[in-house]
Amino acid sequence: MEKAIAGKVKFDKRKISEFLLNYALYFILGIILIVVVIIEPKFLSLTNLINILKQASTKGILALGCAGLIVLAGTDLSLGRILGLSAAVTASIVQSVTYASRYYPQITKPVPLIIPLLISIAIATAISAFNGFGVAKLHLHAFIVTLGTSLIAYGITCIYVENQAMGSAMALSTFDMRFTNIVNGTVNLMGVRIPYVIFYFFIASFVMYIIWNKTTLGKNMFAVGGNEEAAAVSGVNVTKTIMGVYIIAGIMYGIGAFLEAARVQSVSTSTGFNYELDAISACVIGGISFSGGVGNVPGIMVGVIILQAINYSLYYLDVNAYLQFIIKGVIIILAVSIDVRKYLNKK
Amino acid sequence: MQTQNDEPTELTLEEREEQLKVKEAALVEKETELEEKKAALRFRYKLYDKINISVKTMNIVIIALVVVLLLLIAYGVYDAHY
Repeated sequence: MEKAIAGKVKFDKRKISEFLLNYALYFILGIILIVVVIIEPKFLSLTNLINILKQASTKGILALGCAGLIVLAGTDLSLGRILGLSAAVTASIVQSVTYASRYYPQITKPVPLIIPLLISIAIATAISAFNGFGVAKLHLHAFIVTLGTSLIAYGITCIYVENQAMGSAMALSTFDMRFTNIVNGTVNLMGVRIPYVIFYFFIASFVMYIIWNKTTLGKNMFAVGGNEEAAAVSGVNVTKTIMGVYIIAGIMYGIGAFLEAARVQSVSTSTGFNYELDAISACVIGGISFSGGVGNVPGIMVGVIILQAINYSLYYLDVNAYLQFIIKGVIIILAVSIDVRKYLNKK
Repeated sequence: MQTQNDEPTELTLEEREEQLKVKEAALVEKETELEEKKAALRFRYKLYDKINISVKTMNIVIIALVVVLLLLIAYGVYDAHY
């Protein structure tokens, strides 16, 4: 009898420690939130919650694109710079026609917003498809290809931004009001003003959920990510699948760049800097395994929101900006460690 | 003038079969080589496969990282407010 009780206690202890280790990041977020609320009780306001969601939205759309590449056991280091380039081109087209120092003085009438959106998507998709070609056809490691395209995209962004009529690297700003309203406009839901961008994030998540779970491409993506050789033997067209996932990621980056330009309302050469780290860490926190073949869309959404909540809390607490970088770095290593532990447990 | 034409060498059925067999074997060898090359190209470095560490060690790493993270946050908050 005593032995059985001791066994049960031991089993429960093991279960509890498993739970604590697997959800360590969530507990840390909880601790941070408690500390913030103790120091600044006003933190728990609806405005702050909406701010967190608003900031998480564009990064969430990027993470949704990047997540597919991580499921394929790859990564994307060029995401931030692709966003920077697409956002710079978008910004140059949507500058107010009354602004004297606009990038294109020849544009004298407001451009329909669908044009910059399509251009942004086309640029991001072209670069992402190039990454996909390198990985799928040339069998290069995603790390190397995306590192290369990251530098290429950054170089093009710098040349493009510095090629202004003013001849300076001044940030592209003073946008058409219709453009900024696309993101910053709000819907009044029972007295709460919710920015449009939050809806875009949820719509993008829903579309990605359908692609991942209800389409052949989504199923093939998990098969290729889990075991490429086995997928190929089973008749999955590996090249086509990898290219498809990269193109979808490019579309997401293009949409994300368009929305981010409208959100920040000023695009410079530094726009998009380190966004890839935020997107990758959000994916890892959300349970997308670096070993490939594992992950789901709700996990990404939770990961993005958690990461943004941690960022926002640290900013709210006035924590030194450099220290915030260190904390983010440790969070990424911790997320990967938890992922490795889960992998070892399964092995 | 009499021209002397070389008589075409006619192969016997056995010889032809033997030649065909040799050709077939070479073709099979080529195909095998091609498959091997394709398989080598398809091989991708799996990130976690080479990890040779116990779950217990990983637990210690995670606990250490959590402690480091909490200390960093505590220091950040202390530095900002006191």
